[in-house]
Amino acid sequence: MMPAGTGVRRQGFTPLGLRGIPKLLVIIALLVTVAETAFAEEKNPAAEWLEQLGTAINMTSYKGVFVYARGGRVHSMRIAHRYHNGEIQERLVLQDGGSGEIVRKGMNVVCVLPEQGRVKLDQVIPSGPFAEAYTSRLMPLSRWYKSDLVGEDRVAGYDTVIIALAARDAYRYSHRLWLEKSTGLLVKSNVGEPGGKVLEHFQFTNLEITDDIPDSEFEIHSEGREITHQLDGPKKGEALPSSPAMNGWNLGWHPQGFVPAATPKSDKGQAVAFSDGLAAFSVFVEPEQSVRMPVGVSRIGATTIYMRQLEADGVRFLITVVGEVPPETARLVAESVHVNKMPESAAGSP
Amino acid sequence: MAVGALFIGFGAGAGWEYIGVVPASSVAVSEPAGVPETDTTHEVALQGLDKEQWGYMNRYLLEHAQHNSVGAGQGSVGYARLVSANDSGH
Repeated sequence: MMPAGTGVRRQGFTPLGLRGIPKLLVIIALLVTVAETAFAEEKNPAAEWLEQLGTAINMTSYKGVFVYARGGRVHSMRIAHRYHNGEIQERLVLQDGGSGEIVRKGMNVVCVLPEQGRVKLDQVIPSGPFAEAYTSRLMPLSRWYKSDLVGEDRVAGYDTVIIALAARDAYRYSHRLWLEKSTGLLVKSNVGEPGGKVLEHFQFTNLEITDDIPDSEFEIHSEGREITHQLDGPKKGEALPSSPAMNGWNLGWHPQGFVPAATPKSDKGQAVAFSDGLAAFSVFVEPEQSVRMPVGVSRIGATTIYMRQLEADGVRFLITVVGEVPPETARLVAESVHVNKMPESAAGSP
Repeated sequence: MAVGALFIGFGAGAGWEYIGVVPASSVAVSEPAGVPETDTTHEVALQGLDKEQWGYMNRYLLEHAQHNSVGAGQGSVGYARLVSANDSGH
């Protein structure tokens, strides 16, 4: 009787006939299965956590208090958040500087303005697209950031994993995210520059992840002047713009991986925002106004503002780049702006 | 100062590692043509801005924050940035 191995060897040297094809297909299928299993086992655990992040931020129900610090300023806000009857509901209450609050139900936002305090909440209401419009869009973060699961921690009483997102080039900052273990909710984050300096810090100091949040937590509690705002972001499933709406000017360069994310509302000119899925910067091109702005870079925590002047067709423009990017990136982006003709919207501006 | 201590504390506990990645590393990011690498970025002291200039600066910060609703900037962080931008310079 011929040993099985011999038969296999002979089959390998024989030109493939119709009978050989099924066997070959089986072998290929096995190899593919083994390769897929190996790949799955080697899949970066940090990437798996990041995949949960977008969903967790919107779909997790929670309430608590968070602090946010950048550039020497610290703010704290109380928040209640839930996904209820197919819509996101949120209530945010300022904890310092005034008694204002924001209540959001789906795309409807009601803001109660504080009678005193520095923050003008009527300006704070986001007028652009909200986060969930983008959660289905998978950004290839791994191309621009090296993600690693670097440890575990405890934040606001919850066990978390720590994900380090190290920028792969010098054009963006590195990030560190603390995600709650059972839900993937972002409970703490740092934005920093190479070398370890933390520029921006966000953290829940008090948190309760629970589906048991009464309706009353999402009702307006404080007295004061109310304003209502309907968010005008893209509808669910609506495609994002494939190219920025730049009218009369163009961007000669931006770091790879940044794509048009939204169009900020600029009442005096034109603006385009770019994001790499983690960081974002906005470019404003406006005819220079009577107020002379200083040229150069300013920084507030991780946020950079770079301004330069440009003259085209006898009109002086102010180019402003704002974003959570290093100053050099903002400068390079601003320096690459070319104005071809006066933007239509600028024609009527002083 | 409390804020200073806060930042030192955060930095100390964060465990940041040095990311000494140059542009020509694993990701090919090209330098824009015509921009010398030796250019230095002139830093503007925010304390030196007058009220009108601050108004302009605030508007840019706010408009950027209002639309910066992608990635990890979404959710509570997005709101926090908005409030912070609104409060800048006062």
